[in-house]
Amino acid sequence: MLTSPQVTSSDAARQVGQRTRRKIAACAIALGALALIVVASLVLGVRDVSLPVVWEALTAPVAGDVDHQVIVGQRVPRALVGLAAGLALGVAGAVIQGITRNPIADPGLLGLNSGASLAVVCAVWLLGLTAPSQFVWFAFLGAAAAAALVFSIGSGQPVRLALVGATVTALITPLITLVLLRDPQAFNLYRFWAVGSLTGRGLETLTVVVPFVAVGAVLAAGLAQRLNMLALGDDVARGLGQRVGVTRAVAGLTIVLLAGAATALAGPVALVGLAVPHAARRLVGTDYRWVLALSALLGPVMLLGADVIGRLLLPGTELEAGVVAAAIGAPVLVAVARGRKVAGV
Amino acid sequence: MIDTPHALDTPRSATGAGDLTAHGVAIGYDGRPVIDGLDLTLPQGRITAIVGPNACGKSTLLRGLARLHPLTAGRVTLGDRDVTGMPRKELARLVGVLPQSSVAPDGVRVAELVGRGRYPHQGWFGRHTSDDDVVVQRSLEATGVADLADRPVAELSGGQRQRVWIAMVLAQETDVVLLDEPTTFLDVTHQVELLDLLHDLNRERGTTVVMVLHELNLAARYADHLVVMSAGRVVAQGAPADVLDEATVLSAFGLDARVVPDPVAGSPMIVPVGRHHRPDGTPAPDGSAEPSP
Amino acid sequence: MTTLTAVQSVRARRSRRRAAVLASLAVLVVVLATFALTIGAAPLPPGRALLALFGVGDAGDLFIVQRLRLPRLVTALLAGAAFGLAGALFQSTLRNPLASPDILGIASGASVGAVTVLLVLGMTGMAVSVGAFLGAGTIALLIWFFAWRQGLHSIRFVLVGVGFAYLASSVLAWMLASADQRDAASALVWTVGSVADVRGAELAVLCGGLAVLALAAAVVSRWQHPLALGDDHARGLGVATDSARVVTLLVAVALVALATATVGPLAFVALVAPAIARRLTDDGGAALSVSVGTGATLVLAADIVAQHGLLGVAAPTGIVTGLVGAPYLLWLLATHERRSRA
Repeated sequence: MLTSPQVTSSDAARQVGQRTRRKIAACAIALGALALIVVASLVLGVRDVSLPVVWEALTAPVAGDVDHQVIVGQRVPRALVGLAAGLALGVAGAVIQGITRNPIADPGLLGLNSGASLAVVCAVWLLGLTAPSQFVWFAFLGAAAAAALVFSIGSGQPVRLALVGATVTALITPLITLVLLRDPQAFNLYRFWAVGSLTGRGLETLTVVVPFVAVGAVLAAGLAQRLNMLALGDDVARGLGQRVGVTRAVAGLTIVLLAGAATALAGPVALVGLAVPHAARRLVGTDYRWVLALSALLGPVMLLGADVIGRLLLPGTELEAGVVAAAIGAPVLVAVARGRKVAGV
Repeated sequence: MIDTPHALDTPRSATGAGDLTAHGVAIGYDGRPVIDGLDLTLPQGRITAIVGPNACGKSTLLRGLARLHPLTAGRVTLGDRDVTGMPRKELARLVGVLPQSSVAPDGVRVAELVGRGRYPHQGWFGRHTSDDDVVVQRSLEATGVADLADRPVAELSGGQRQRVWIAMVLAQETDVVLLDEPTTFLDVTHQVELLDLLHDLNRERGTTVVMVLHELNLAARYADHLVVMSAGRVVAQGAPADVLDEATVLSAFGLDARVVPDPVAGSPMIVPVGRHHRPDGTPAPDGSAEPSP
Repeated sequence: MTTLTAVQSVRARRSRRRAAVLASLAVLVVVLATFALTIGAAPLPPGRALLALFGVGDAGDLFIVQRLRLPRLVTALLAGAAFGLAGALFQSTLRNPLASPDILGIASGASVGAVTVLLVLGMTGMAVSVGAFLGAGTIALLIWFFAWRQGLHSIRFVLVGVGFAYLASSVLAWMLASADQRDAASALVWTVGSVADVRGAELAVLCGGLAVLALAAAVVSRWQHPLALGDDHARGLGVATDSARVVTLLVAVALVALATATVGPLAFVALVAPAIARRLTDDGGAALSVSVGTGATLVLAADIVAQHGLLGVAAPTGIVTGLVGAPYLLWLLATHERRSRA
């Protein structure tokens, strides 16, 4: 029982060191996986392009070369969209779960996806937009409006926030369907957008959206310690000198920036924002600094990975990233849920 | 309520269910055994306190006895009845249990929450009868929360709330009541009040009380029978005066302490020595606890 | 004596409040039902409509009321009751206000089943209902199978359910996207749900099934109070928590599958109706009977709006259920819980 203090502290230090090394290893492996998947997403596809040719296309593109055109015109933007949207979804999911302390909270549950979808559908119906790249601002506005509604009614209590989010979704979903039933043209466009996909978004879309992702990621990094305190309860957080209201407001802004950007880029992609933080928590524990960092890596791994798998699964055609991401995410979530201790959020 | 005849009017000790006994009990979490092959008898009609350092398995044992957690081996009997295979509802009419953490549903009021303790006595559709009201009333009065009957549980103080939960367990009308650290989160006044209440229950109704307690001195004062656990085993048991000596405290808790008679009750009282109050020149008993320079 | 009086008065006030809520809902249902029987392409005065309901009047009136409007009215009430009851059972058993068939993927599972029959097999009619029933049942069994680990824990069930919900809705979105546009549009209508065009055999199945399941719900309702105190307390009170949860969820899933097979998913009725019911009763209980009432009222009101084109377009019922129920729940959330902490 009463061991000497030196032994205890060096034991503890060794344990902490081991745990930190495990976390670093997890992040390094995730980073490696991400690099592999980025390369795979450039090389693989309906038209396989060899690695040297990819390198050539990136460094010294030859005008008129079909392979180079595919790489520069399609695969690079697609990979970048996957990176940005995946990162945004992973980080947004972690922040949402931290702020709501609800393990099933994600951008979809908080009504952000449905808000974005409604705005896109209305834009198609009323303004006659046709291309996904035109949907960006509407997706953003819709997500922000839904988030504003959810946070203004549900602010304060985590349980209520999730319930309000689900209710807002319940309110918006039928509105979307109503528009879709009235306007077959809108339905025709929407049903492709709603699956969630990384294709058809050019570099110009990306340059518009990426600043939002960047700002959101920086805000999220600043929130990490505050989320750690908040995990101990509002009162403890206040006792440690935190202004809980400010944290919630900043988190709300972060979520809108990230989830709005992701939806604008890739459509309402399911499950990435939910499964990735759970997986991250399983690997590196409950410290939000690590959870956020690993989520930022695993998000694109999952989304871009889904995109690559979708290209390979059916010969001659592609399965949208959104469908594959859901098919990958569901088992991940089930595995997490079956874990010894369902991670406390 | 003189005119309403009821089971509570007669002392229950005469019809008590017998000793609560663990036979070779093993309990674990996810395949990791916490308790293995434990035998223990908790005497009928007495107050038993189970004490021990953190993580010694005392709460686990209590959960196993109450069948809140499954046994991996062994069995538990109450008198000559096997508790382990008994239908849960039947068990709930014999043994009441207050788990460590209790959260009341939103909006529920004190009288209603206490009324939920009548569940094991109710039929298929859970009709609440006027007999149930009488039991609820008595439980509220016995725990001194009668004036709170109409209040939402969420609005009560910690001490009041704990009394309400105990009232709910009393409303089960069992011969045995198991309590897992009932005094946690209570200040010393409320701790003493609560233990006095359990003492009254035991003396007036003959209820067998088994509780896991942290506070050694209060355990020694209120228990008739003290069980000291360490590392999943029972290291000593018996009357507090026989069990609690300096050697037991040192071996079970690793605590160097003097044991003196409690000036009020005469029960053994533990006075920890600590690093800063060791008389000069006295070596630490196990040689490892050095006063810091 | 005063304590006993207080105990009795707490209980009496609860029963009075519940009775008052149920009575108000009943009045509301009668008013709405009368309205539903009178309006339409051939408006009837309330007196004639009610007479026709009991078989008095000319052949035209009888046909309109008994053949056209009554089945739709009964379907709306029964389906709403089933969804409300199922949602209340889910939410109280899993101790999560979000646990409803919409969120847990059982509704999406039914949609996938029905849309598979419509788009892949190219069949319509009863086959679609069977597909929906099988879809809902399959998803429920999958959730069960994967959530079971040394017992059935609420968080696991909800988390696994949400996973399957996303998976199913993603598959659904993909099926709609890869289908021919006309087929996709008709499948979309099914996924919204409507109480129109439910007749004869289907209505009889709904009626009979609901009667059996309501009885089962009355039996499982006795576990809801102990379960609401948490697993330890429930076990201490003599409830075998795992089997209680399994049986309750079985009843709830059967209710959802039956109702969805008949009328389609009717979005969020199972989420919203119990939430409204709990706030109306406010006793920390599961509010099963009141949820039956709120569910039936909600769907009936929604169908009147949907049927008579108050939105400028004759829409399927399921569109309006969300539009009617959700704002009311939001209003309750915004006002009610501001005073009593969640």
